[in-house]
Parts: sequence; structure tokens; C-alpha cells
Amino acid sequence: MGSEDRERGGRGDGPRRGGGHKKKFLFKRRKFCKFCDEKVEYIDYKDVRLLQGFIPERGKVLPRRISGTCAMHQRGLMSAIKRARNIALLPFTAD
Amino acid sequence: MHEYETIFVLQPNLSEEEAEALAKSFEQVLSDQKATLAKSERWGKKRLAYRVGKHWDGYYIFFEYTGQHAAVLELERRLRNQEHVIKWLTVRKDPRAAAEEERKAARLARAQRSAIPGREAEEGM
Repeated sequence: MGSEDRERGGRGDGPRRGGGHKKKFLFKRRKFCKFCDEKVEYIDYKDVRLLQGFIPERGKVLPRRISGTCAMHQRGLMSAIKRARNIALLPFTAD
Repeated sequence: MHEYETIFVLQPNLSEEEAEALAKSFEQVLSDQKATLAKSERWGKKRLAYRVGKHWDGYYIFFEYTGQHAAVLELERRLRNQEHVIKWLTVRKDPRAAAEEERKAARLARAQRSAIPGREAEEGM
């Protein structure tokens, strides 16, 4: 089905399932962590404008595979977002 | 002695004087506890991300201070009991945050110097 499509050379973007050895087309580049790139050490929960980039429509935190963030910064990002939510700077859910 | 940040949100229906009076009273609490206030900011009325109690907006106040643990406890106790305070959060400052703030200031200064109109507004808060 999906993997066969990729093997034939079809588009197959998104996470790979089992077989298929074609290159994946991810939404954001795999290795690019914006914070590592800028050598950021501390992600401020008060910086709403920065944080908003990581919270799409429903208010959920973007997963790493989409945002391209590295593990360390993702953890910092998550605690910053959770703090901001508690102080009503960011929503818990947006409906 | 450690550095802390406390943000609290007051009900939006207070007058400027009442809000300021409350803020000053909390500042007083800190100085009574022998804590040193580094920053005391008023962010003013902001739209809340979600409804709190009956309100959709809140008046934000920010303190940055250094003190003993007891000072923090006392401030929080007061905030908790004060019915006009609808949200509060105390954070122990991360030592790495200081370096970050300098870098932010440097970035802001650089952006303003290159003076692309409208660009200065980019950094929030």
C-alpha cells in the first residue's frame, strides 16, 4: 500500500512504515534545531512570540519530528510552554 | 539567597490605582522579608489565553527579586489569599537565563541598528 507506493517512486511523505527505502520527505528538515543553531541556552516561558511558533491550531505542542528541535531543547521548550499555559499566556487547548 | 521571578495576574476590572496599590503592597511584602527587588514591571492588561474565573483579560505584574526561601513563601501566601489575584507563578531563575537575556538585548540592539522599518517590533515582551 503506502510503502509499495514509495518503492515505486511515489511521494510517500511523512513517517516511514516498515519497508520502503526511499528518502522521506519530512515537513521540516530532520537535523535542524533552531535553538541549537542559535546556541540558545535557556528558553524563556515569558517569550510568547517565540513559543507560539511551536503551538499550532489546537494548542498542542509540536512534536520534535515536525519542529526539528533536538531533545534537550524540546524538553526546555515543553516546560516553558507549560509554564506559560499556567499563567494564561498560552492556551491549553484552542477550540 | 536565590533569584526568583514571580508573575501574577490581577482582575482586569480594577482601576489603575487599585492595581498599583496592590502591586506596591506586594513589593512591600518582599522588602519586609529582606528580599531585594531587581525588577518590578507592569505589563498591563493583556488578553488571557483562556477564561479564568469570569475574566478574559488580566492585568499582569512581574517581579524579579533575590531573597530567602521564606520571602518566597510569604509572597506566595499573600498572593494566594488575595482574591484579586487570579493567577500567579513563581519560578526560580535558571542561572543560564542571565546569559540568554544579554544575548536577547544584543539581538535587539543589532536589529534596531540595521533599522528596517517595523523590524524593531519583532521581539516580544
